[in-house]
Parts: sequence; C-alpha cells; structure tokens
Amino acid sequence: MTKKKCRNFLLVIALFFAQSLYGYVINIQSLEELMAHDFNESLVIFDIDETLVTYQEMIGHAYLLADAQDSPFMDANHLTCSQRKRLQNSLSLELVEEIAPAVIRKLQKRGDHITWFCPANSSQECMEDKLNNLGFSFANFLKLGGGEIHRLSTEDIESQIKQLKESTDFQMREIILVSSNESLLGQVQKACLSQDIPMKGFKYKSGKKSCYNPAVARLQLSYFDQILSNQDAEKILRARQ
Amino acid sequence: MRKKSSLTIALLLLLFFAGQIKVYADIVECSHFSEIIPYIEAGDHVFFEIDNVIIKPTVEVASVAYFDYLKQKSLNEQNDPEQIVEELYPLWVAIQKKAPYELVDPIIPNYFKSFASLGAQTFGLTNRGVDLAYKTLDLLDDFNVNFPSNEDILILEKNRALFLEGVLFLHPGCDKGEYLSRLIKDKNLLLKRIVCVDYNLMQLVNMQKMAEELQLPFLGIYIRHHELNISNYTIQIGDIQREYFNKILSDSIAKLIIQEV
Repeated sequence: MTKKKCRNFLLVIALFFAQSLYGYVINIQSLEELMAHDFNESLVIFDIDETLVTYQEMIGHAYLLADAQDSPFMDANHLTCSQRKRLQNSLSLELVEEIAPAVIRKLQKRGDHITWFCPANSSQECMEDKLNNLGFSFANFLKLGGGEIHRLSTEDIESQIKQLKESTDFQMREIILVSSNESLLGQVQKACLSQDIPMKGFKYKSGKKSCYNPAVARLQLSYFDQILSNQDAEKILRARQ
Repeated sequence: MRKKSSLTIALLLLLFFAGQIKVYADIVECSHFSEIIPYIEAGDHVFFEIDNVIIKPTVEVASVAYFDYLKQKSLNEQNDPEQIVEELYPLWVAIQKKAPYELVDPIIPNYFKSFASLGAQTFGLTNRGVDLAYKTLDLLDDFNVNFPSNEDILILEKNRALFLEGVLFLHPGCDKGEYLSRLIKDKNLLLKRIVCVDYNLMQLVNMQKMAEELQLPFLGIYIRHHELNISNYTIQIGDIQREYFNKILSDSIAKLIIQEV
C-alpha cells in the first residue's frame, strides 16, 4: 500500500517536471520583462499581431477577431483570398509598446536567436517593410540555408518546428514564444512536445485598452475595394470646410 | 404683300426650330436620348459613345468630366497631352473597374429595341480604353444593352483599338474617325449611312471628316450634358474620392461618416 502511494507520488512529481520541461507559460505585461530571462542557446519566436504591433484602423482589430461576434468578417465570405491578402497588406501598423524595437535589438546584441510569426494572409516582404519602418531591424534575425530571413507561419507548426530543429546551426536548447495569442501558445507547445524540444511561453498582455467599434470596422470593410459614395465624400468635405 | 408675310413666317419658324435643335451641317444637337429616334432611318449604322450617352458613373471621381479636369490640371504643368493621358490612364482604369454605374436614362434599353425595329444596326464606339472592354461589356449586359453583332474579335491595333461584341474600344485620345475608317475597311462594311452619337463634339467632327473622305453619308448627333461643365464642388468631391481610393478609411473618417447618418 505504501509502495503504491509512493509510486503515485513519484508519478505526480514526474508529470509536474515533464510539464515544466516541455512548456510552461509566464505572463508578462511589458516586453522589457523578457530581458530578465536568460535565453542562451534558445530560439526566441515573436508573434507579431498584438504583441509587437497592433493595427491603426479598427478593421485590423476586426480582422484578428474574425470569429468574434460583431466582427464584419463574419458576413464577409465574399472576400476572395487575394482580397483578404490585399486588405491585410493595406492595414497600417503601430507599435504596441514604444520600446519593442529596442527590446529586440538588446536581445539580438546579447546573442539570442530570433525569428517571428508572419501574420496569416500577409506577404513577408510587405510585413518586413512595415516592421522596418517602425524601427525593427531584421539584419540579425535567424537565417537558414539560402540566407533568407526565416519566419514561421501559423499553418502546420509542427513540421516547421521539426525543420527548425534539423536546420539551425546552433544547439537549440529551448524554444521561447512571446505572444498574446493563447491558442498560438498552445499550438507551439504541442508541436514542441511532439519534437521533444523544451518550450517556454511568454503570454503578453499589454496595458493598452482596446476600444473596438464594430460599426466603424463594418464601414471600413464596406469601403475596402470600393469608391466613397458622393454623399459620404460630401460629409468629409463639409467637415473639412 | 402676302408673299412677304409668308416669308416672314417661314423665317420665324426656322428661327424657332433653330432654337430647339441646332443644326450644323451634318451634326445635330440633342439634349435627350429620346430626341435621337426621329433621326434614325432603316439601314443606318449607328455608333454610340458609351460614357455620358448610355451609362454614367454614380461617383464623381469616375466621370469623364473629372478626368478631363485632371488632364487640364496636368496640362497647366506640362505641355505634352499624350504623355498626360498615358500617366493618368492607369488611374482611370483602376477607378473605372470599381466605379458603380447607372443608365443615363432608365428607358435606354427600350430605345435600342426601337432602333432595331426601325431596321438600324447599332454599335458602340468608345474611348474608354481596351483594358476596360470586358468590364464595360459586363456593365452593358447588366443594364440589358447589347449591340447585336457576331462574335468577331478584331484587334485593329494592339492595346489601342479592339472591336469586340459590337463595340469598338479605343485608347483615350484616339481619333474615332481614323479607327472607324479602319474598322469599315477591315470588316468590309457596306454602309448606307453612318450615324454617330457622342457627347464629344470634336470626335463628331473627326468622324464627319472621315465620312467625307470615304464619301459616305453621315449624321452626327451631339448629346449635350450639363454635367460636363464641372463645378468646383464636384471637383472637391472627386478629389476626396481619389484621396481615399484603394485606401482603408481611418477610424476618425469612418466615425465622421457614421455620426452624420
């Protein structure tokens, strides 16, 4: 009986350690908190949406909340794949935190290996341009084989992690993911577990309050790809006079 | 005395009709589509401009008048009209592809039936540009305006002149007379009389010259549109539509539009 209790206790302990080895999540409210951690021989992956950058227009927030109630994208099935891509590329970005480019720079300087999740539907070149304009430098981002800047997509994360494990020229001790997206943290955690790579997640939640207005997003979507009506152009003209 | 009074009456009548319909040789002026019907005869080949004659955009930025204003504005800065057209053409095409349209008059499709019953053959002849050919044909189809023609596709000049489904699409600035003459020759059209309906008097004069050269009877019908005299207000509306063309509305502008609803 005592032996069985002891075995159960050991199992619980083992499970606890296994979980801590293969993925646990730390909540942070500022990217600066990352500097307190030593990521030696780790690969640090940054999510872009709502972690490094956010959207200036409400339609951008709506895009992220595609499945949420009141999102205009709920009834925008008419948008083709290329229209969605163009929409994503047209969105204006702003930093979630002013210090974000500086934090990445510091991590790069201390020798951390950094890569990023390119948001779905947006082209890598376009996103790189936008991030460059906001002060991010990709010069020291992870580059694989052909020398191109590496980036992850949200599709088939497991095989991408596997490829990373096989092709990086450093001993990847751990994967670090910084994201505000709980679902993405879970997906990467699962992929790392299957590839036997320890993973640490940083769930980022900025202090910025979102003031999403579905009516504004809906109007922006309705005028995406369309010309302003004479009546609405008149309203702008009247306001300017 | 009686002779003198009848002459006076005839003169007065002539002056009265000249006031209603101005007749300049072979070009007559009409202010409405319905006024065209009395001029059409059996066997006529009638060529219609599409913009401002059959359809018009419901947004100012897509109007011919606004583009003429843009051309004029550029002309004040540089002297090469052809280069100006080439510079503005991509914007014109991009806007036209997204612009909503309406019929100049909702009963225009019925007039086309009347032309057919009169025994006249109708065609389109437009300076909208070759790049807008399919978009334009789809628009006309939506409005039930079709030019009866066989399925001939004739490229008169690559990227500048295309005859498709009864419509001759010409690059902006192309002389309609020159290309109509080429179409007549290429298709061996046997014409009793050419009738051209257009809002552009200069193009009608070009076509009249062409008809004279080919020794063909010709009638030009000039449709005058008051909207073609663009106002400052219309220009401002067009400028705002152009400013926000292919851009996402900012939150503040979107809120401004919503607030006033």
